[in-house]
Amino acid sequence: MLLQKLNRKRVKEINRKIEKRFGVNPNFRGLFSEGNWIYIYTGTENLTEISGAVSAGLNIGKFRDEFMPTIEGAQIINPGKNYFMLKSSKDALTWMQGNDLFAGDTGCEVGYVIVISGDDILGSGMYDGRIIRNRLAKNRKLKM
Amino acid sequence: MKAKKPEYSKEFKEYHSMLFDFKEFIEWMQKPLRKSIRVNSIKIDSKRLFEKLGWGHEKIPWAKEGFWVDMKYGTGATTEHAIGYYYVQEASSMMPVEALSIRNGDMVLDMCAAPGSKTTQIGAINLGGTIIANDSNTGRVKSLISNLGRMGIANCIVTKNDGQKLCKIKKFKEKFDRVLVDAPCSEVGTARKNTDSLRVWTPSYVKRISALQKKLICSGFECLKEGGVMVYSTCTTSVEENEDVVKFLLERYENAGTGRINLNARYESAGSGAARVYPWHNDTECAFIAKITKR
Repeated sequence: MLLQKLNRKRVKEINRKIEKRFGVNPNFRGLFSEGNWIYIYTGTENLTEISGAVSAGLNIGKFRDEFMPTIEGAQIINPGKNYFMLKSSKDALTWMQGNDLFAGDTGCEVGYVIVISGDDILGSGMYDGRIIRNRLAKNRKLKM
Repeated sequence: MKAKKPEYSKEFKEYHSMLFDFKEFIEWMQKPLRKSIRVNSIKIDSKRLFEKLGWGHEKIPWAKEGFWVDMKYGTGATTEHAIGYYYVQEASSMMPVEALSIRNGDMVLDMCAAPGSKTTQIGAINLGGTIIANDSNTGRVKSLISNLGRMGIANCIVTKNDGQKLCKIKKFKEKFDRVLVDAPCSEVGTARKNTDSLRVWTPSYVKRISALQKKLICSGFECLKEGGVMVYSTCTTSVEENEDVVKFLLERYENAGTGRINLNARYESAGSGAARVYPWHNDTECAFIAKITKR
């Protein structure tokens, strides 16, 4: 397994970026990474000591310069800003099938936004000022 | 509506006629299986979920978050499923984890974990402990990882090892408070979903898989701490894959005993600490569950 424990400085940087972008500090601790993917692991066992380990914890997002939350990452963050509320459950289905959304002027800043339908948090996408590009993982998209 | 009569060999009929009323069994195999789900209490409570889904539902008595739902198709094709609010899981398949009496904070091993229905069930109970979910098949491990993610489980480590050899790993030996060995089997009990398992059943396959199951149960037992509990389960009917495997373990290890199964379900006793579930008991698939203790 290639999961690496992130040092405090890096974890702090991720928390700060999330706070700046989404308006809440999730206070993540014990984060790990595999490439650019960030994982939260809450178990008590030391990951490096487990033979044959191929994965651990929960994938909460991708971090390069900005943080792109997965569905679970977005649900944990529960944003205070830069989120887009869908108008109907039909829109939610369209989003979950992996389609982009024509959002128009949303009041959100350009960059990653969290997509919400009612009280359900449906992951995140890249907003360019007009369209929210769908960033759901392939295996999470609804096949109808 | 009844499905067409399943195909099976003369050997299959002869063998199973010794176990139960074969005609009744075949009649049950033609009845459609009730759809069931397990609500993911990590993300939502059942009241709120059913308000969203609008489905008719009935509580499954033996499973804390289990429900039969009035949906014939499409239970896995909703937004709520995609964002991890529930897991589509057959009702009898929820029994082994319930029998395992997991306490929050336990160190738990799920030895043959993919695709993860039972691991995610464990995860919803054991939020403060650690789960090691193992499987030996690369493709199945991928679906296990995907399901753990969807259900929001953050305290699980997925390993890809041969279950028979897990006990040889130093970090695994006598390490776990709870062990689940949901062994690969001939799957006769799943025939209400797919009758192929009846058609392909042969005594020689049962003999081969029974040898593997004996190795798996021993490996699981060696991973168990003193005072720990292990559940051995299958979804099949052959004595060689069920009672004989448990008997093999009990004869081999002096410190192995049986525990009392206490499920709010109808079942047939299969010797001390073991239960056989047939479709006519609770309108489910078949299951075999044995509770093992370590002194």
